[in-house]
Amino acid sequence: MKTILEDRFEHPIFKPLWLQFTTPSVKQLHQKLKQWIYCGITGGVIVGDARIGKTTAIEILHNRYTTRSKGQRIHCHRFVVPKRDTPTIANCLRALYFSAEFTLGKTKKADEMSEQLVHYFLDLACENDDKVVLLIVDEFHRLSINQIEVFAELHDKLRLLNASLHVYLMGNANEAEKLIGASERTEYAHLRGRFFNQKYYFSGIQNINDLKQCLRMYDVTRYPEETGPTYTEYFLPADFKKGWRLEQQAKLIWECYSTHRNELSINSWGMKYFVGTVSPLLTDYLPQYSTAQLSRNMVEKCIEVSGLIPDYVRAT
Amino acid sequence: MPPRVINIGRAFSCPLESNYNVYRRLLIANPSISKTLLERSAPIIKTLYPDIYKAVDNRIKQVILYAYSIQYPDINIDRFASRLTISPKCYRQCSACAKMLFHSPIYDYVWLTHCPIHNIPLELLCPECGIEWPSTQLLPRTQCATCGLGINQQDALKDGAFNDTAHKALNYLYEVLNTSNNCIDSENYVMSNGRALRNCVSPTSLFAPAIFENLQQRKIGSVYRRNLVVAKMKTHEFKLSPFDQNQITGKEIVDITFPWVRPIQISIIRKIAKAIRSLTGNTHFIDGGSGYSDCPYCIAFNYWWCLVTTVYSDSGLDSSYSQRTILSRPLFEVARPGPVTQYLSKDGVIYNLPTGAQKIIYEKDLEMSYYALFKFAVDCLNYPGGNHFQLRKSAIIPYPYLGKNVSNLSFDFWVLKKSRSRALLIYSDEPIICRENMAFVKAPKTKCMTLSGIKAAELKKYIDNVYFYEEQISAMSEPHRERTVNLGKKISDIQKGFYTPIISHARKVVDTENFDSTFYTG
Repeated sequence: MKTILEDRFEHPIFKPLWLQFTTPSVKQLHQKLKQWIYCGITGGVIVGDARIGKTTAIEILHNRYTTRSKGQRIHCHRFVVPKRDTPTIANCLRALYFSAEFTLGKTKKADEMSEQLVHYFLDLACENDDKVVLLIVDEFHRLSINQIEVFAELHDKLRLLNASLHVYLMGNANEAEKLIGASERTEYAHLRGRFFNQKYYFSGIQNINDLKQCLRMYDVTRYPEETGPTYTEYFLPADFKKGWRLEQQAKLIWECYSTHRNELSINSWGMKYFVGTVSPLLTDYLPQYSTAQLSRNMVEKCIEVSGLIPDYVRAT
Repeated sequence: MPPRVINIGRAFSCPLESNYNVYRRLLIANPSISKTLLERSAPIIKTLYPDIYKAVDNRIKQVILYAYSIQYPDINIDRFASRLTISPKCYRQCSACAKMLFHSPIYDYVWLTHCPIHNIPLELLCPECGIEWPSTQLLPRTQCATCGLGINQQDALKDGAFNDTAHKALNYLYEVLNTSNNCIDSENYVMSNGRALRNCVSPTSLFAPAIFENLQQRKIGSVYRRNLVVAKMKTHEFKLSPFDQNQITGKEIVDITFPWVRPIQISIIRKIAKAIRSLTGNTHFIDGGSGYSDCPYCIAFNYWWCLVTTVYSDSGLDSSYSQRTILSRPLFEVARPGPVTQYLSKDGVIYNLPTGAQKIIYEKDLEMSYYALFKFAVDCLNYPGGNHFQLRKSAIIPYPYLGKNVSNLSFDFWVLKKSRSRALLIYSDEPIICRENMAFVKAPKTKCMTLSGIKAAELKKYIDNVYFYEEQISAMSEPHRERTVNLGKKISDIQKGFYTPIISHARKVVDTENFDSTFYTG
């Protein structure tokens, strides 16, 4: 039988991949993607700072899209670009081929893989009457400009078969600058028109209101789902009963963060650092020292633990 | 969602498509793994989808079942698998549908002559390649734009091809099938020779639409009628009286020359002659005696006539004579008429089969037998090397002499009990040869005696000549039991003698010694 302590570590808060909140940024991204899909924009770029929560946002959103007309599900294929020594088109196709879980055969020609992928996306597109399928290319900054041709080719072939492939490239803003810059050249005008005209900047927590909404998620999200206590209640049951809420501490936390934001010129608080701050506060400091002793120092310590400062110092 | 082994080509899927078509679209939707689709995907299906692997043992079926399970996640694998059948071939196909990656199982049914969607004739051969539609085995290697994997996918997915009207037409035909199956409230009567009179209509039967129309009292719409063969059905009402075994004295068996037998034989000879004349442009001659013609009409006629007369000279045989080919089709099957030798039985009760009904059955049997023999003669001439495999193949190869539908034709009889003492014999009166898409080759004129301008007296003389042979056999007859043995032996000799001319025309490649013992009865 597991002890209470062991059970405690089963909590999603200790499992970074399980901890997924629909934050204001995620909602904004959702609205933007919805807008692109409904308006028939078949290509776009989503950029944002590293560790800001783009991938998690897509994990949350990828199965939420439906067609405008009949509300049928639009399938979304997520493809994480791997880094390879030789950035060839065939390598990109092969990576995409394997991401579709085709394991048959070893050596395939680019044409064969391309045709196979066309039919793969066609199958997915046929799940709705509008024949739309989404392809999210995560970490697209690892691609060379020529490798983007793969997506243009797939898009063109599917268009001939009456299906629409929406390709949205997602990556780190700084690293993608070079690639986006390359697309400005005249010889890549066809790529620019398809994928780079529409840009969206994904940001983390930008103001105290965003922070409040994020903190509120700890106060309302339950574990186990629906029947269990909220995250805050789970770790601070007595205080929660007395009406103590994490959301109420938003001002204090924001003040602490603001100091660093100004020093390091941070645009927005990345979700990784935010979660890295709140988790130790909620699971270690507050249960140990009580909520009455919550102070600026304690929050500062948590921000330090999250790794925000060294990461940004190094980045700048 | 479990990982996908292969693409399922959902964009090309259509309602009412055949499993052959499902397999073809799977191959098209998986260009990088088509050639080894079965070999490679089977072990993966075994690992990922053990239910499918257990449900069916055939690899093609496994792949098809996999495709269905992806497309329709709610299907019950075991239940669906038990009904899953796949024909290794599509025998007939609409060339326009083939280009659009569609095939329906009803296209293989003989009663459908034209594609209900495109209103063009259904073909046995691909118009582009000039050969048969590829089997599931050959499909992965066929790159034809019509019958293979090289179709223009954009055209295939263009809107308008499979619209509501097309589906309506197909659905209607499916409805015909579903309702015609078991639509007759008939009972399983068995004739005295053990031959069962049918009590249901198979959807594949040529008579399915006719039964639907005639017995369900529902007219087939004129829009669809032009695409179907609706055989004419006739009815004959007769009295169902109990059969008294004491009526058999033994004398009737010997007395085989009933007054109504010969007129029927003559009428059938006329019918055959008329059919041959219509097929060969009124210039054909039939070699009535030499037996050494290269013409399948003549070979078939000689063989047929000799066997017909042999049956009636043989008191040792049972009341019918039947010989089957290796393809299990009756080569020759004629009910032997007689005053009391024909009866019907059902659930242990035996009824007389009146002369009127006997005449009908006898007439149709005679006619069917000629065409069965004709088909056999064409087989032998087409495949002089006549081994089992080639003859099996012949069942699906078009016959140059009679057109494509010949292999599927037959006469069927149904008995419907109307009241306690009355019954209805329902039968088809349509000519056996299908009228559509006939492709004929003129038969040779030399060494053949003309039947086209034959007069009644000459015909009688001709028949009497044959009967002379029959009388010779009759003269040899001794007491009943001995006759049975002797004539049985004699008949087998005669059979061998009659097979021999056909085999000799098949360029003497077939081993005649082994021919009648194993070749026919397999």
